[in-house]
Amino acid sequence: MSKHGDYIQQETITGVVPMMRGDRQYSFLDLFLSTSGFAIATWCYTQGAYVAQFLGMKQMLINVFCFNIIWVLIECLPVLFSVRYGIDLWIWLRSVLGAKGVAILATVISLANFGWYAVAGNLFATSMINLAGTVGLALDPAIWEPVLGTLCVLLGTLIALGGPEVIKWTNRFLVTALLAVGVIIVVLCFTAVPLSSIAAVKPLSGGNSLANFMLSAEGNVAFAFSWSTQALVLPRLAKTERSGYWATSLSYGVVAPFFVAAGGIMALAMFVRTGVYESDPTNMLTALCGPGYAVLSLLLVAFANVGTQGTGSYVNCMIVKSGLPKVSYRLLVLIAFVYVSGLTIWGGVADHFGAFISLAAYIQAPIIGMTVVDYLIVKKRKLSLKSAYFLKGHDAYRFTHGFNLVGLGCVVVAFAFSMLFVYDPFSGVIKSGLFYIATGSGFTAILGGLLYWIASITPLRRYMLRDREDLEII
Amino acid sequence: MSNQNIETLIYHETERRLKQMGKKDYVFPARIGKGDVVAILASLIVCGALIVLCMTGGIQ
Repeated sequence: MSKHGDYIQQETITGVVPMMRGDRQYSFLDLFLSTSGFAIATWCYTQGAYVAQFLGMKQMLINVFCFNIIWVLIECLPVLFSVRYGIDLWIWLRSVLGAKGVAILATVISLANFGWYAVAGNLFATSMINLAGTVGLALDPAIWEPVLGTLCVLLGTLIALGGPEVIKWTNRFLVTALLAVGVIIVVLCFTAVPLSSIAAVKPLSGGNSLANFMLSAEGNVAFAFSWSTQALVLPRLAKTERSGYWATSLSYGVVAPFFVAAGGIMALAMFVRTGVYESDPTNMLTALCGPGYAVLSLLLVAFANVGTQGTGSYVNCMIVKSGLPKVSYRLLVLIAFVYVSGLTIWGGVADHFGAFISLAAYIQAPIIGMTVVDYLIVKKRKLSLKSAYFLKGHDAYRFTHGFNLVGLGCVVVAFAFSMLFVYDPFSGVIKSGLFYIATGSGFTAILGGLLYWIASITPLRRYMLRDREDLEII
Repeated sequence: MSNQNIETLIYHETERRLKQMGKKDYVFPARIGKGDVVAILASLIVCGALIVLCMTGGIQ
């Protein structure tokens, strides 16, 4: 293949060039396993242990699965567009936010998303240190946490540099092993502590049960939203709309929550056994089943966190690339390695996990609402692809100095309103009864979509929809 | 490869591919069916109902 041919191939797989039918590499199973590999990491256990403190087992399971399923099914609807045209969500978002709006928000959101991978690196390091401790090897956390955390990021970076084909084959192996380990862990929990004892645990926090339920829901909605802007990158590799949509939705809406629920059940079992809610799978397995079983968590922690680093780096670098197409994918992956390693060594993201996931969700929530409304109601699944790529003579999405002021206005108003009047994720203060209906993150998404729809039925429509005469590819 | 070359290359390749997609004989990936829509709606309704039961104390 010529140098140009190579480059085009590279820009198709790891760039913004639309994927044609023949370029698609992923079957349902490939996409399901790759996306699941991305979704499963030990933060699922952190999330599960967090939720378990507020709720009993039945409510916890419903909270974890139902809020995730509802929001993931909704936020993944634009996957259908992504599959159809072989391009990712961020190309569509040029029509909603403008070219520079996408460049800025894609970068900001990816910088926030990378915080998740720092948490994965930190969890990898602490679990490995705990695991070493179970076999009598005392590792000094001050030295080994940064070293092991950076190792996790490095291994993930190597996978990301290999691109989708390496990710596909890595995840085929990793996710199958992970799912098996997850099932074994749940069975071991129920064997170690009777189900009736786990089900009888009363929430530790006490107080208003509706508030507890919705505070847990806030965590789960934020968890569901954390995938949103990343969810619509991999499906461009899928061969049919059905496989793209269901592989993505089942991974984020069912598989990831399954591991959250497993973490919650283990935390409840640990509470029955030791009186403490624990979130580290290594400590949980050692306490519940004995040190021999901690090797299972080695599989879980090593595979899950490294797999997530790899796929996450690919996805987020692709997001940044959609805003900055001229920067090479390889360079972005290497910059991400340095950035995530820095965050991992700092450790501050993991220390403020709850506030971090809610804040990240608040930034993404209005965009989720606006994307779904734009896709289904405002643009009715029709986009001017030539304008989205700014081809000559197609200027429908050239907004004010590169910014769609209406779209960006909706993002800012929804974000600020929810922070000031509904729920403040930093302080955890509930400021309105609206929180008890929709949660803070959920309300932000609904408000973003509502504002965008209202704008589309006012004279602003002429500014937002200049593409109706330019819909050549539908 | 310079930035200018990269930009031109991406532009022309994108233009070529969109032209192909615009042809009448280009086959897009198969669309989702009614069964998928029913499954999505049913999942939303069941999950919503379970959440309401928890919020109202029907499930403790």
